[in-house]
Amino acid sequence: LARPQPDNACSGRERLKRHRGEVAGRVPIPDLWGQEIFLKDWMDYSAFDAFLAPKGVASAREVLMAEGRR
Amino acid sequence: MAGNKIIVWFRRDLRIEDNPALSAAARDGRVLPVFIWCPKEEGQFYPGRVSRWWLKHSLLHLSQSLKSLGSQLVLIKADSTLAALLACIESVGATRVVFNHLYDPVSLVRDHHIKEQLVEVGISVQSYNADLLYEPWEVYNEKGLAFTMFDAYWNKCMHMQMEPVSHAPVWRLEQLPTSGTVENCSIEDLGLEDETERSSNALLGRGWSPGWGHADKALTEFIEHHLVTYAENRLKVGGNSTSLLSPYLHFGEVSVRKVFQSTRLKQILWAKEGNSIGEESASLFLRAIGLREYSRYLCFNFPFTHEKSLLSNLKYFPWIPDQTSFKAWRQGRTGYPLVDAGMRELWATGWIHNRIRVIVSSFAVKFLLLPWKWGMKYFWDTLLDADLESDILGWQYISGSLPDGHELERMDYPEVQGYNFDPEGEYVRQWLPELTRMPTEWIHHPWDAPASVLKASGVELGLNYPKPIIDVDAARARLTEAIFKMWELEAAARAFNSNYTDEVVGDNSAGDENSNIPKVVLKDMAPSFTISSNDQRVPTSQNSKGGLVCKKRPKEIAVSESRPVHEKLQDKPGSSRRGEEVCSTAESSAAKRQTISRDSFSVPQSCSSSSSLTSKEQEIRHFNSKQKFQEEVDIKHGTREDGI
Ligand SMILES: Cc1cc2nc3c(=O)[nH]c(=O)nc-3n(C[C@H](O)[C@H](O)[C@H](O)COP(=O)(O)OP(=O)(O)OC[C@H]3O[C@@H](n4cnc5c(N)ncnc54)[C@H](O)[C@@H]3O)c2cc1C
Repeated sequence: LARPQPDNACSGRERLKRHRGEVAGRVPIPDLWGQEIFLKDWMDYSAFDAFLAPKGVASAREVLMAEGRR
Repeated sequence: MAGNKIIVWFRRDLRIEDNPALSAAARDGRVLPVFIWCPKEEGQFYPGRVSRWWLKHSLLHLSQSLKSLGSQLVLIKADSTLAALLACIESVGATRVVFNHLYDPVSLVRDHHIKEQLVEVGISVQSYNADLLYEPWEVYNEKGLAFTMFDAYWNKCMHMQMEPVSHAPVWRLEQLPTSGTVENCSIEDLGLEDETERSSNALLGRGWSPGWGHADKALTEFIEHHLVTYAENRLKVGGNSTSLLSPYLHFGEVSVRKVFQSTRLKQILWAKEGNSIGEESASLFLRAIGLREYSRYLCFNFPFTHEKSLLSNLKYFPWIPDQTSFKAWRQGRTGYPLVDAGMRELWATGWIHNRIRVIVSSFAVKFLLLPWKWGMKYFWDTLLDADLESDILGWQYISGSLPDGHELERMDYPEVQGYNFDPEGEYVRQWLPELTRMPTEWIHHPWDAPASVLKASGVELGLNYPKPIIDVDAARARLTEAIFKMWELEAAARAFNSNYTDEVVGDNSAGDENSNIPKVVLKDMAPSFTISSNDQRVPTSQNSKGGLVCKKRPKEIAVSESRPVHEKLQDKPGSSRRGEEVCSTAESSAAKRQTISRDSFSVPQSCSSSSSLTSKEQEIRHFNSKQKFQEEVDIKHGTREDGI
């Protein structure tokens, strides 16, 4: 069911437009998102920073750059 | 050569054409294409529902293509990517692994680690650039430092010779049989789509077609029919005004080099024909592609470990972590029609226009003071094109973290933007049926509408459409206060740190590793209200006054926003803004506060004067200002004003 149905008579842009017309105003946004329990954790910068700056990222960069320059 | 057995590890390069890793492998031997799904390694940035839906269908598409080339895509669900790769190597007796680079910090570290481990066991490994026009380490200024402004960066790129890479097309792949050690699972077994997600996902399938074949069609159609009017149409928020290529580009279903080349070709043709509109459109579209490049560039060159890490200017911002207002934002129930329409479109279609992204994200940060990460995570979960670097760039752009982005204190009023970007209110009416009958005059600020109009439109504020979650004046006051607070906390932290320098340095676990990172200072100085280019940031105390004086708020704001461009420019040079940025922030906040309070007594011209006008005069003024405003918007079309 969730499989996209390619429609040859109609381009991707047209399909999206039609889809918008069909769903606009009719799709309720659920009361619960499902990730509310994490919201508090995402207040903490250090956890986030640590994730986005994993150990070893600087040397990984260096090596990639060195390879790329060869 | 043909004896070589090579693993092609697919990630976010789900295409056949112009895929350097695949081409190299097909040239040198027999190929085993694999895709490894390892949720554990995705960690915090495990892709959201819509993104996983896209991935699932794109993989199906790729898998069919590889089949028709004579091969088969092996799908593996694993706890460790390295272990899965080793199993593949063993099962076919491969001697080599190839893949295309990714640049986000998590992938950087993982890929590096995997390379090291494979080399250790005697496997040769090569990675290629399939995602960018220019590698992030190729573009530097004349001093050898990384750029911190997009225009300079892009200007440099456009004057660089692009390597004329062309990768041999792959027509046939020889099947490489695997032995028992590899668990080739079905696409369903990968678990990209939960049972509970199916019905929501069914909707997506009616609007979008993932897969490189569709990407190719979308690109051709855009280049042939829509690129020429991109300059004009890209500012419209309803309809299909832009290329809609972002999910395809994110998953590597279309080569960015191909996008670039076909656009350049058109541009050259149009230049020859004297079609200046087309030429301008092409260069603006290339600029959009440039922003994607820049997002990788910034994350790569200014990683989070650096002391001036990305978004660190917001470290001391006193967020209001209120789950109720977050929910109202998420559900499109803020009472600001343009914001609400955007959030509902996002949920229903998995995509929204850049302008709407700017509006809804600014609203979350500046009107609601919600932690920016909440908003970013929600985007991450609901956008088909969810992309770490572009998403970060977007949030940085709106929150004052980029020298060429919006200043933190800049507040754009949704109702004013409504008149600019959805002048007839069609976008709002499409997504908010409860406002269908609202006359255009009030559609972007129903709370100002006379009771009779509301009644005739069937709108009952607080019942079938929410009252504004926060009043514009209150929001402005709150933001101002928050910025003061942030300065104070920043100054305090700085004072504290300067007493304990040793500890801080010692504490920096990344230590020496960082010494090679380009030493470029991103904007981190506190904002100054003195020299705003528009007078929206009149601080607290007199807001309420302003509010009383300016009865018709949207018009009023339109007036204040409509100061002619030359006037704005005059602000810049002699202004204390730059000066203040140079001065040390240690003595800061008192001095800054002085500046502000001095300034805060200058009630905006338009406010004070219009109050004494008759309504007829006001109408005329409004008309004039609207015209001026239109001119300005027109000017902006051709400039970088609409930014990132
Ligand atoms: C808060 C915020 C969050 C964002 N999050 C994402 C995201 O997760 N993923 C994402 O791909 N884009 C993101 N963007 C950027 C931008 O909104 C989308 O790339 C764009 O709207 C996609 O539509 P399009 O393909 O029709 O764009 P077009 O205007 O046709 O542009 C063509 C391509 O250029 C690139 N591009 C255009 N604008 C930008 C930009 N501002 N930054 C980076 N790349 C750009 C995209 O790859 C896009 O597909 C974000 C912007 C903001 C303000």
